Amino acid sequence: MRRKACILVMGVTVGAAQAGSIVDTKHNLSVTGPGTVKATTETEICVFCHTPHRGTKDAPLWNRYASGAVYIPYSSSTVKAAVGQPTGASKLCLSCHDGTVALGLVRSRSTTIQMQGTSVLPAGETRLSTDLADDHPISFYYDSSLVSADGQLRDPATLIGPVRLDKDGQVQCTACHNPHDNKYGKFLVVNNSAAALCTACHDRTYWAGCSHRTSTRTWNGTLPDPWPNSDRSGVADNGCENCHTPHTAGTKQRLLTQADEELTCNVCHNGNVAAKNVDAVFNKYSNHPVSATTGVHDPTENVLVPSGTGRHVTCVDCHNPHASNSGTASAPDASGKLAGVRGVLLNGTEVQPVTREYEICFRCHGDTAKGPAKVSRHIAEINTRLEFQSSNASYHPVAAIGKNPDMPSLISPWTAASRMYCTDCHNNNDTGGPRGPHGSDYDGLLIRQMSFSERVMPGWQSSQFALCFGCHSQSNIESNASFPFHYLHTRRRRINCLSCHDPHGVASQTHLINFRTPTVEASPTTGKLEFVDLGTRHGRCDLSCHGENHTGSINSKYQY
Amino acid sequence: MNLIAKRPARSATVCVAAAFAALLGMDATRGGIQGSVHDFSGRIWSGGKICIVCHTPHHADPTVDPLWNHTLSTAAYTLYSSPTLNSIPGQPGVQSRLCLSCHDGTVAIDSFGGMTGGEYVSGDRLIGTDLADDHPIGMTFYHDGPLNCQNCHQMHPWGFASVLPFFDGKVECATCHEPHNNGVPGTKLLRKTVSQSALCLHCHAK
Repeated sequence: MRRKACILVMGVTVGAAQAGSIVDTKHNLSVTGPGTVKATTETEICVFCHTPHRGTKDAPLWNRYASGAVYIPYSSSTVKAAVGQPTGASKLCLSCHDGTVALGLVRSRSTTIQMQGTSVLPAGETRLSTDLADDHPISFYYDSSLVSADGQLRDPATLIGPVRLDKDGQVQCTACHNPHDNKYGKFLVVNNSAAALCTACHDRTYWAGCSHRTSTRTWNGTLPDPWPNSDRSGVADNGCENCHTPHTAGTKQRLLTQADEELTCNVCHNGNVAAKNVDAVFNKYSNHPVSATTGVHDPTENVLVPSGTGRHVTCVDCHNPHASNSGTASAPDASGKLAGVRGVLLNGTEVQPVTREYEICFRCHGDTAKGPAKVSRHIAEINTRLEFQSSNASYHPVAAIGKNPDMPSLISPWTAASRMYCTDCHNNNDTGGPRGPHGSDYDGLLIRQMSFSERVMPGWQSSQFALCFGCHSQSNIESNASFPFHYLHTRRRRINCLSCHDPHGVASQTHLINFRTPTVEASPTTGKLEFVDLGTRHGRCDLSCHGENHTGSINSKYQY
Repeated sequence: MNLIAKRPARSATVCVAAAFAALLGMDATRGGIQGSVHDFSGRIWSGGKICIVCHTPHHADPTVDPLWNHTLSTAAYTLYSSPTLNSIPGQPGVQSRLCLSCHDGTVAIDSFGGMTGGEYVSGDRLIGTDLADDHPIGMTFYHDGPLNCQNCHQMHPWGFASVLPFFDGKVECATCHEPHNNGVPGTKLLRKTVSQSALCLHCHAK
């Protein structure tokens, strides 16, 4: 019995000394350390950082020499913290991790401890270099004024146990890392599954309901690896690290994993993680040119994207990756995919977040629309925000219910009281593919084919006007139910719908009538170029089309 | 295990002690002070004696144990401090003051038995009166952090001194150092090996 008790004591002693210890981590730089960076013969572990006598006061009995490096600190257009040169414990970490100081250079030894391989930390993800602009900011005060300025940080008084500020209230490397304990990997103080570490401080607006927090999607294994800096699998598990990385970021500002902002999204939204391949849609003939610019978008930019220099579109101009979710909506309300996005109200004022889908479109296609219009008109207007004003004489019912209650051509379920989205017309032509105006095989980023030609040459086919006929019954229109000369103009003369109708909206003319110029000119008789609404299913034209004088009068065919 | 084999265990305490002795190599070994760095018998001022520099069988300093013969330092020490330290060190405890009576550099090594000498500690062995850059002493072991509890509590119930003993419940110089020699030359009289930082990790659960 006594011998058994004796052996038991020994076992406990040996086992307990090793469990979860620095001994088993890469920070054991002694010759028996488990990592590849280690000494040639040195057997001590603590000595690389600590000494029992004559240590510096920089940290508990510090045994290293400070790096003399001058660092490039993190900066971004949105960071509110005052980030300067590293201070406190961060300087201690950097005395190895900036890669400028020999690992074995310690105060308690008269000669440098010899390391296997290079004397300094070898290149790799743990060598941060002296450029800290691609690393999470450190050495800044995390206090109530920062919380107030940022608006999306937690009160530092509520920080969870292992996440600590230093004695001065600054965030240092040690807020996230415990150099003595690697039980969570990367020496993190808590397991960052589902962003538990990140969200100890970061309290992003909308994040609670975001699909990037809750999605159960996983990677199908097709390269590239969407999460190169993470060993977790699945969207929810990766949390913030779906898009961000705290060190050696591809895009420095906001620490995005990828150097290309769209690639940050597309490494998942290419069918490898997300169910649908949005990436491929951007290669279609007509698209929002997200690849045309890199690094131009900035969260602090004016809500109106400029028409000239600086014009751009990125994924995050229309989507808020901290807010996007699978919530559904019906026109004109923005769906969950557009949650938390900035936009412009119908009256031109900025709104955050949008409630209507079209408010996002107005960022670029409203007051700063670039033009030229795909069809030149006698009433020229490229500002879609103005085209859709509810005070206009006519408009497609995007921003308000339409003005014309007499709509015999509408195909159910559409009615004269229906509301619609911009994306009912401008959308991916592959209706089984990812929805939204990312790209289409058809000009104008249209969901169905639409010719922009003035007249359709011999071989008139309804497919050339499939966009219109998707909602407006071709047979009803050709029956002249609403206008006695529809059949004449379309099937007989092969005239494009767009030569008389301006689909977005027209301020001063009903029935979306706004004539194509210069084909349609002023009437040589009256000098006017106009359509006059004479009541339900009655009107008059004063114009000349291809030299044919259409001057309406009571007994002429140009008044009906 | 050799010790156990040679000497049948008579009690649980002996068994435990033997186990640690075998396991930790030098821990339970005590080399004679003769020939150690604390053997000053070669100095003229020692008169060829060893113990006399620190101890005397008669007329010892009545204020300190054990039978103290060396002149004590009267220095006030600058203490170690750290924002991450939970256990606050005080002025060195009496046991550490014995060590510091040479190692703070204010009293000569050969100031003992009422004599005033002139040979002072120097070099790495000089601690000085600024203890802020030295491991804290004179402090109670803090029991609310990551500790290797079993390193002490497996032993105390049997009344054994710890491998790294406390003095009046406090960490002092002699917690790590064995002034009478650890039997391994060149190891700074440490009670445990520093290979794999075993000495440090005995208490620090890092």
